[in-house]
Amino acid sequence: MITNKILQKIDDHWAVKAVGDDDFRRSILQSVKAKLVSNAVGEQLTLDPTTHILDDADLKRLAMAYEMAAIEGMHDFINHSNDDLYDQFLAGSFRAFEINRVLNDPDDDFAFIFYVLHLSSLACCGDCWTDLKHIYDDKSEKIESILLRQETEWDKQILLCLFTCWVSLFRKNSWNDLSQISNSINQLRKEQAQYEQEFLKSNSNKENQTKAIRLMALYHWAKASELLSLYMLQGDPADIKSQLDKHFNLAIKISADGGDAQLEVLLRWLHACAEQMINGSIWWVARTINSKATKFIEKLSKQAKPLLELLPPQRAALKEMNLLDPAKTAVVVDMPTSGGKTLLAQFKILQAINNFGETKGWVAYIAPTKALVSQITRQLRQDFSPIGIKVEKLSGAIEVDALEEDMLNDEASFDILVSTPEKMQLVLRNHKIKRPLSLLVMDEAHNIEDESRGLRIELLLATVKQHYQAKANFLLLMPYVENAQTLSRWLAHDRNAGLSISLSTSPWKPNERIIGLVTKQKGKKRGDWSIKYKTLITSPKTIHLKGKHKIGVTKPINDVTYSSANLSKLVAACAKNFANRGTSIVVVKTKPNTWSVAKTIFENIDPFENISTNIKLVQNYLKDEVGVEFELIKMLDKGIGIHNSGLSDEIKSLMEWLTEEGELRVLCATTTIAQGINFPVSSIFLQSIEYPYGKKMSYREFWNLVGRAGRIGQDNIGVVGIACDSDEKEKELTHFVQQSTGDLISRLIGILKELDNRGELNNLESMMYAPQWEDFRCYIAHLLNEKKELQATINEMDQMLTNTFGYSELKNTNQNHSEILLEATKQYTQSIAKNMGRVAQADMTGFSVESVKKAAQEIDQLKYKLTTSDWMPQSLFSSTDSKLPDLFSVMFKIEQLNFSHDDTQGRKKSRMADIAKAWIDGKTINEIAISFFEGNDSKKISEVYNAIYSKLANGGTWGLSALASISGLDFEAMSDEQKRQLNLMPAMLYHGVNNEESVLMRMNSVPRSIADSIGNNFKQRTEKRNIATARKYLKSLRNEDWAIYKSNFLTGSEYKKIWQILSGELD
Amino acid sequence: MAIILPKGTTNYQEMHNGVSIIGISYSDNQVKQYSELVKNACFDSDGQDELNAYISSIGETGFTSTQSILTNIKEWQLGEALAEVHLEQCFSCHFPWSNRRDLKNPKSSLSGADLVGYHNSEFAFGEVKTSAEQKSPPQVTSKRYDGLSAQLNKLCIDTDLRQTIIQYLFFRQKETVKYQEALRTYLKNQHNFYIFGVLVRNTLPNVNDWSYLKNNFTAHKKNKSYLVALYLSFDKLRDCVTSGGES
Repeated sequence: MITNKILQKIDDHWAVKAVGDDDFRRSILQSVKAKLVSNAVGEQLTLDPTTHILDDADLKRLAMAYEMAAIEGMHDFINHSNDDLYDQFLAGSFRAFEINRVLNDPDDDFAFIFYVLHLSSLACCGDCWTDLKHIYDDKSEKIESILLRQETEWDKQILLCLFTCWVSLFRKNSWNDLSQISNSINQLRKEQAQYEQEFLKSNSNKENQTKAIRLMALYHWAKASELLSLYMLQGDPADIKSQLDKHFNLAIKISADGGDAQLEVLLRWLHACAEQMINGSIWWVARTINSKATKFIEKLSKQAKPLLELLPPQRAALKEMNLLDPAKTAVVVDMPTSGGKTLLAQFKILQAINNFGETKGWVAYIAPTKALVSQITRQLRQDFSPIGIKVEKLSGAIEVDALEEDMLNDEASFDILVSTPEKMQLVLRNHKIKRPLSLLVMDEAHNIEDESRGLRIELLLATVKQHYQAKANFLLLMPYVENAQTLSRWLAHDRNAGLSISLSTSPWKPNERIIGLVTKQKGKKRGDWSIKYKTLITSPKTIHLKGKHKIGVTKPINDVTYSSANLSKLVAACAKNFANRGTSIVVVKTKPNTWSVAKTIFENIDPFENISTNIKLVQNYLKDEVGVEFELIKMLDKGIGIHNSGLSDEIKSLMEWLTEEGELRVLCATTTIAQGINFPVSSIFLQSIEYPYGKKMSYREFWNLVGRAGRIGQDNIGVVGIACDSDEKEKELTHFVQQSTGDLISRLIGILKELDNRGELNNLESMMYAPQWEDFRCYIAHLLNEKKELQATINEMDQMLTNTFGYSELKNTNQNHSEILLEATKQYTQSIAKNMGRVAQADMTGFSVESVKKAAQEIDQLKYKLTTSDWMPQSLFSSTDSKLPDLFSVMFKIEQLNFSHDDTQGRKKSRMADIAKAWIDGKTINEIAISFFEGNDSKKISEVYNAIYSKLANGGTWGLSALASISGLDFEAMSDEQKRQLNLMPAMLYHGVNNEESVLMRMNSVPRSIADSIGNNFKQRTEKRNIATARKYLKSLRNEDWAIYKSNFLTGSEYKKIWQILSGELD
Repeated sequence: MAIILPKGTTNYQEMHNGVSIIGISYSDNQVKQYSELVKNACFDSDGQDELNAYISSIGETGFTSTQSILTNIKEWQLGEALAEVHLEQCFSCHFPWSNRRDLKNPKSSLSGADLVGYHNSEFAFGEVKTSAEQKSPPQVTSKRYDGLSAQLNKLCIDTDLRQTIIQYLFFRQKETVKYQEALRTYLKNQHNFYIFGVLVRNTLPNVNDWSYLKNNFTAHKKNKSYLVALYLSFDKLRDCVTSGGES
């Protein structure tokens, strides 16, 4: 793969040096970037007149120099005979393509054919084939007109046919396109007799000779094209490279002897290009894995958008860096955003399932957010279900409910389990799954350094190391991490078993990007103002253009004066201006900001001429789920969406789906979207790089977010703008984007360092009771509970702590800190060991020992003793003497449950209980808003969702489940039905339904408003009811079955589609 | 040991808009001295074998074999071969790959140049036309698409064409240093190359042969273009070549 090193090296090549000095070369490349930006976003962004664009002649000269350097290495590239020249070929092609892509097309049709094929070959050889899609889109009119040409001369007919074939090979649009190649060439064979004789009937013998020579070259080229297409489609023939060599070499030799310089040079490029296509072909890369992988590839190659060729980082990881080396037990992949890391995980998973199939091993896939858990589950299920691999997810609620218990205990229910770290931690620590864990995949593993969740994630990995090390392998996926090697060494079984694959800093990008500051500027006329865009020099080397460029027109939004144009207005104006180019995400600091920015855009943008059925579907869903007056419905008329934590997971998923489908012009989101976005957009405009409470995004989070700007194959340029209103902020932002992302550092080390800086390290034992140590304390309680005995735990503490990233690093880098930590941990262990019952309860519930103690104390203070019947869902959520308000008052006092201060007042505790009851009772969001929040505007709706999804679904369900364990209930005395009801209670609260079948429907993404009625039918028709049979039932429903479920706003088929979207069943 | 061949008789020599125009005639005896080198440039028994091999290779493509191709020497091949030998002898040009076996493709719009090589450490591109037409200037100089004037103008203007030719030469060159030197110079300035237009005539020397080009050919740079007319007997040359120079 192309590295920065080989790109630097090619600049020292004699041919490149001959063009001019380094400054001149850089000015040409700068000019190329400026042309690229101008071509891509010239309509939205007027470049500063001082941006100097050189003549094409200079650009061509440098392009030729790079191409000559590439040609020098061409033979060695095809024959793999010299590594340096191999690299020179790649780098030369990369640069030559970079320049050639901005040059003008020739007018003549046949010159155009040669030009396009040559440019495409450079792109393929330079690992830029993903850029070809939009290049072909840009040139589609000309290409279509050429493909319609009616040629009478046989050689031209063949050339046109071959052009069509190669356009399909480069575009890779569909399986059909590629399978058509073989048919087209067969058609040529049939027509040969008819046309060739006529073509060679010239009076001049000389002319006939030369024509015949040309035909022979074309026939060999045709055969090579056919072979290549067959291989890309189905991986046959196995000796493809030697067969291609034979036909290309003959075609080249014949055309050379025919004196056809242009054809000869083109064929040489196509030969190299075919070699590179094979190298990146999914068949070539994965040909040695296993039979499951072969079936998987067959499936990928035949899907609607076929996956036939791997992205360069995927190819590099799999082939050049041996991702699938079975001797490597811990692999850390540092990969750029949009580099396609999920596919790498899929291959690794297939390998694990294949290797551990006999022992019924399972794979844990951990994603950081509920949204990503759902997305990954959808994707894995779509890809793996057809080959018999079962994928399940765990709900976002922290505790494991009865239905999930059933699933975890059923050996046949899943091969892959997808979950958030919090939930997986509980499953693994409590050994809920008896089968061996064969692989743990941690997505977005850079969250290890996150201030609030990092330690939890690190300790989850430490838990796996502690309990499952003998068999479990690790795959960590993350962007922009410089010390991937340190992480792989930490997790590996032994020194040599770690593998780090670092690709984030490679020059390959899904697309080019500009990142700049957005500021306002006063105009010359009174009242005039405009938006200026100044690109920044960044650490990942995004495009930098000199000068200040203008976004949109003067007075870019209505009724906003210069002085009232604040940061929100600026980003709104940017989004409005870029609206016709594809979806923009506007990132703002707070939830209310998302609505206000959306309103500004709404007032400044025209409605769609026709509202698409997809948007109408979501609008109808919102009317049904929230209420007809919900503001978002109106916003969608103009293609404006909202994404913040004040919306349900379903609504957020639908917003994401509309974005992915290209239906939205603008998505207004809070900064938290940085943690959950895994789909590309055209532009991103940030009002702020801070989270709501003033904390700045980390560099890695920032780059992960802006890495989504630009869609592979669709935008040549992803645009990122950060609003700025002061010199001070400009300085800060300029500095921010220049920082390198640096090493990933354990939170354990970070916390100790902070204490050391404050001079509090010597008092670590008492500092350990602070909230930031909560996860650590839970981990220690878990270790103690596993060992059951204090002395054994103390004796092995050093060894057990070494399983954490932080402690293992400290032992190497700061022995003093490691010793202090060990000592304080031992003392803490001693203190909690005094009550092993609490330790066991803590380990079982996920609470800390201190939370267990506090909960027990609070429950003791209740004026009555809780009975089994108090805990039954009917009693908790329906009866008039429900104990729910009191239980909330207990929960409010437990910090770990994260209820905010304003929830804890006396009035609010009963209100929270009442909201929970209304929610479970099936009241709509609108009704809950009116009953409990005195209104139903967007702010109130947001408060309802916040109360339900942030409070009830998280702290509420976890707290109730934990309190039930801590409250001293006699589980032995309960009937099986009572136990089941008790275990189902948190799930009902989480999903907002009141019976088991409805929970099963909700777990399978059925909208809440029909969960009860479908659940009821499911109950009547299915005897064995669990998550999998519920999904099977839903999938079996025909359109007429769905037709009976309709509401005022949604038809049965619309419900079906919503379910399909949310469950990933939509084709 | 390098063979020293006669330089012929210079009949006219002039500068026109920075282009050197030269007319040289060869006596029959001088033609005879050239014939051995010209013969090497025209006959190639391997060439026919290879063609047969190509024809039979078509069987592997799924297409049917193209009809057999006969080769015989044509005047244009003789002319090109003579031009090549002359430029190497008289202008210190060097053509590492002559079109000895190349069967020129008259239909190809971008087939390249007849002669590709070096002169004064720079690339030299040449076009050769052979004409026995008695009229002066002969039509081969003025034909709209493939006349000498059109072809030379194209070589001067079309950077893409030159790039293709330079790449084409790369795959044949054996003297890396020489190639790199010429390419370096070319990359510094894409007008750093020489143009040779050669007219091989079976007539008496006549400077009017160049009258069309004088009006229509625009050189890319001063003092970088040569228009050379060679006057000789075609019959004599063919006889010498076919009989090994014994006639």
